[in-house]
Amino acid sequence: MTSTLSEYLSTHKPAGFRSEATYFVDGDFLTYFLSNDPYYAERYDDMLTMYKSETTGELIGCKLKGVKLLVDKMGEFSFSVTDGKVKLGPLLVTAAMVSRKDSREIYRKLASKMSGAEATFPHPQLAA
Amino acid sequence: MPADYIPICGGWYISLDALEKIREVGPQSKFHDANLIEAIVQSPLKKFLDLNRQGFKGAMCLSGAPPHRFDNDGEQLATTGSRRVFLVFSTLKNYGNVVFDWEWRPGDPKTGYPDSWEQAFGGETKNDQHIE
Repeated sequence: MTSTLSEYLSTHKPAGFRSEATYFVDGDFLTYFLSNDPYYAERYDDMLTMYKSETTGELIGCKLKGVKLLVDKMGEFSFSVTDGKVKLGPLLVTAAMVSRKDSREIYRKLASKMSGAEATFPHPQLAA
Repeated sequence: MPADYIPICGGWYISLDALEKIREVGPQSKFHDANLIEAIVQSPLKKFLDLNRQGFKGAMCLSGAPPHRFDNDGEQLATTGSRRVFLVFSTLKNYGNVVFDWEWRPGDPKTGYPDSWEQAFGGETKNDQHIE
């Protein structure tokens, strides 16, 4: 049984890369990467951090924070949760609706760029 | 401490489930960069309180400037000359501090300040404890 972080990292290797939304309970955020490029993070606002390629500077992913609140808000905007899973596109559109007016365009662009993959992840209220 | 959390070092923990998700899905460089967390929580250049996010008042961000980072294959890459700082984010549970994320951001590696830190965080702290 793994006893420490150091031991875990020395005995486990990454399985690979999948372009898939992943929800993290402790931080109440999800991440979604379009590519496996080495990257850096740029905080946009209290809901959004963008991930950009270290090589090209292009947007390759994002971190969406406050997911539980956004999922609650989704219901208000008539987006539904089906089969206990949440789609990334409607979540980003919801974020656009609750964000400041001058931020909405970036959320809409992300929703357009990242909804095509139909990324889904377990409902955070169920995952908690 | 819940069974699905493992210790980093004294009083610091991380979710095994979170590590497994990153191991499965990637990015692989993020998985390997978890090797940098222990040194940052033990000896950060800067500590910031509050993440200016709803529900995370009292959460903490620790920053540092490790001399290397990792690529997708786990090979070390020198960070000398790069304008990057390494951030570790944590929240306080009743059993200790739980690291929930880590990432590289643009910033000053000499001081540990990430760019636009005043907007990202509630303030700096020199205390070892989270403020509740």
